[in-house]
Amino acid sequence: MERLIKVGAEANIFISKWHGIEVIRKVRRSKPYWREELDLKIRKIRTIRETYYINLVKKFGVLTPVIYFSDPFKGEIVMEYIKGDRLKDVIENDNIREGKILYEVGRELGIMHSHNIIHGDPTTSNFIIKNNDGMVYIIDFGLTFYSQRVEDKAVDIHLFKQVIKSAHPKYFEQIFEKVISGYSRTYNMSTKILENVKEIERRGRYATL
Amino acid sequence: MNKNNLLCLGIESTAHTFSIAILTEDRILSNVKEVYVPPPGEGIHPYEAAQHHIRRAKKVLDTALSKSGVCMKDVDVIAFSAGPGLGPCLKVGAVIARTLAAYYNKPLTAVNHAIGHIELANFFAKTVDPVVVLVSGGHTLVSSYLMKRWRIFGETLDITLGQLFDQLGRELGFGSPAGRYIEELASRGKRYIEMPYSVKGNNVSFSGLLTYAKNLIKKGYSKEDVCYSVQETAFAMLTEVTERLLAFSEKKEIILTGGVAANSRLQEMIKSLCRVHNVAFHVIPSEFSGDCGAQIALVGLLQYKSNNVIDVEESFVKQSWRIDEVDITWRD
Ligand SMILES: Nc1ncnc2c1ncn2[C@@H]1O[C@H](COP(=O)(O)OP(=O)(O)O)[C@@H](O)[C@H]1O
Ligand SMILES: [Mg+2]
Repeated sequence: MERLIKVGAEANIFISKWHGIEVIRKVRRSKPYWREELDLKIRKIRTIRETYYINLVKKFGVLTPVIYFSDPFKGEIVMEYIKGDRLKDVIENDNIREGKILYEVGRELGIMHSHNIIHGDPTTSNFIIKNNDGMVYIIDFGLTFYSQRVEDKAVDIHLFKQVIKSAHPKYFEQIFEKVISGYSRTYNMSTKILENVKEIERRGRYATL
Repeated sequence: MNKNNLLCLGIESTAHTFSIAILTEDRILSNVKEVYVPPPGEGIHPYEAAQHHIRRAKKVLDTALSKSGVCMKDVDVIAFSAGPGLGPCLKVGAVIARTLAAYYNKPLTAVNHAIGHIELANFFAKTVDPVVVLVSGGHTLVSSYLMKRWRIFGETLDITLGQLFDQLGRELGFGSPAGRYIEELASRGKRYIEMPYSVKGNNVSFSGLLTYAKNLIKKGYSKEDVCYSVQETAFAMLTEVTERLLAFSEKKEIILTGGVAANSRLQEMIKSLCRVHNVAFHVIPSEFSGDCGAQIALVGLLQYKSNNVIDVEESFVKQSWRIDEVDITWRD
């Protein structure tokens, strides 16, 4: 009755049942290229982090799945199933004309950064646009950490920019601009962060900026 | 022109290696190289490398021609590595290419060295739409193709794998490139020492690992164990970001290319990943993993066939030149 729906980068994602409701069960796979001691440790740490930050950011108004159960030793989390489309698919299907979704993505990143929470993997497959109300949910908090450093926040924005530029080049400028408008609205240090993003790009290998 | 049997002569001259290859679209006729080796314990001196290339150029050219059994007048197009790389070295290749093009009245085409690593690997493996893992002295990145460009999804935020090995090698008294020595020492390592593991999104960072490893060497830890642990850690980081791109892009094949692709432990790790995701694994033949003329000649030929040539007057070299700035004129 459990069904595998995704083989993600780190985890296998199942649709499952939890006390009668349909849920997502995320199970971090053991990696063949990690040594055993490293493997157990990393999967445990990332499961703990993900559970902690998914719950924490809710307090600031960032939308994340409800967590029902978490077992760091097995590397698994049972959470709310967000029925919707990933930002990645929304962009690929050219449904990104109106900027509300992108603005919202930026707004949520801004809220997190203003509370010194760095997502760590803000790629377009880690945002889900819920079907019924169009709200933007963030998932996949295994690489999330706390930091006040401008550089760490700038790297986070750089990661987002990198994936838009490489995976969605057609609308890169438009997308990034709208996300940044949302980001700047909720985070008063955004100008400083964006300057640092440019600096990171200049440091990039063979950059000609 | 008969576009099937075209001959391209390619000149590689970005760093240590000076190499000339002659090939057609389906066969490499010759691939001759001379490698500058700095004194043990030292890094590359760009001007000395350039001097080395100048001294060896004639011999390399003559050998490439005689091995391929063709003469200059049969060649249809001349390609050179225009970047990225060390200025003095790049200039040697460019001058020779311009001279040959002008003297023999041949078209000239400027090739991005890293695109050469990617396309030469694709040439051997006959891949269709792979995730590319490019690991060398100049590059450490994961890429896939979209809309006329090889897109960079992740890369090193500081030094490359090649630099990590060279700088560690220097600490151990080896000349660069030191990858082979490190691999050899690592194969005799027994104890795994935990080291800094740094993955940011799809990017990796090796400078913390390098500092950590150098300190262990200074403290007298076993060289074998340190090399072993550095390899295990650095390759695991790279394999993790490769897995991230694989999951994100949903591609069905991976190709490993560049000088460090010859490392068998790295191959093993990427292979283990391919088994989990049930995708095909390819690696460039080790003979062609290091810098060579063939990577330049192949891309030169593809560029020429898609009318991507330049005038001698605009044949500049570019020390900095990212792969995602190169228009891939021969792919859809
Ligand atoms: N709570 C959820 N609701 C709906 N879909 C989800 C949920 N969690 C994960 N997914 C789906 O599974 C994919 C992988 O999950 P993710 O948590 O990002 O794991 P990974 O760390 O392997 O990337 C997501 O891109 C999304 O499509
Ligand atoms: Mg994810």
